[in-house]
Amino acid sequence: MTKKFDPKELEHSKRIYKSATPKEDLSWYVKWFASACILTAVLARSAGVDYHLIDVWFSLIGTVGWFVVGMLWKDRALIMLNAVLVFILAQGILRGLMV
Amino acid sequence: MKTDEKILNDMETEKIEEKLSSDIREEFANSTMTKAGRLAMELNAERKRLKQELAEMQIEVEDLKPATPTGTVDSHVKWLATIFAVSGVFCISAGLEQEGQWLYAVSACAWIYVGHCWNDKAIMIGSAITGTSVLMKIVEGLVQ
Repeated sequence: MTKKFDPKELEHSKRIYKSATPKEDLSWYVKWFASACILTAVLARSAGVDYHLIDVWFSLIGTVGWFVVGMLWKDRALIMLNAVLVFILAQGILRGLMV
Repeated sequence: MKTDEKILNDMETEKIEEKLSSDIREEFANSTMTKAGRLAMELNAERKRLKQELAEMQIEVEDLKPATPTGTVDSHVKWLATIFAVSGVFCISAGLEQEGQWLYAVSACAWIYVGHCWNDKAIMIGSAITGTSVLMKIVEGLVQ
């Protein structure tokens, strides 16, 4: 059972361990959706070559999700990392479609 | 003596008035109040203007401020992890599989640390699973 804290207590307490990132706003939902997509992609990757398409597409969706989170958090490291990953994944998809 | 004092006071008043914005000086230029009263009104208007300017600048700063911590150890680790991950992905796509995988594995470990510092479960879970997957590939490569 989770104990409910008073908002003032939450704000000023050094005893209650709080998350540095926002909770239950748009970025929180996007973040968990993107994480689920990346986990699905890893699962598909470990399942074998037959699931390569699922792997690539879910990786792309997850990475785009994390890019959006980076934009919402205004975190330049997350934006940079995911922008590079999106570019490489999109390049891989395009190459696959061309062949 | 009194005249000297008055001249000094007038000079100081002029100096203060010079620092006021032209809009405010123009607003009170045709005022029928005493010089001291006019100066007080001008200063009050200037104070209000500066307060408003400060509030606007504060909003601008808030808009650009990241939601994640900056200037802390974890923010430095985060940047290192980003550089390692980008280098790793670049190496893998360039054909340097082993080197790229090692770089990505180090980056995943660093992101787990960042997730732990931020108490962010999504970052910890995501990095732990992708890191494990890469480590498994490294081990597979070493065994073969």
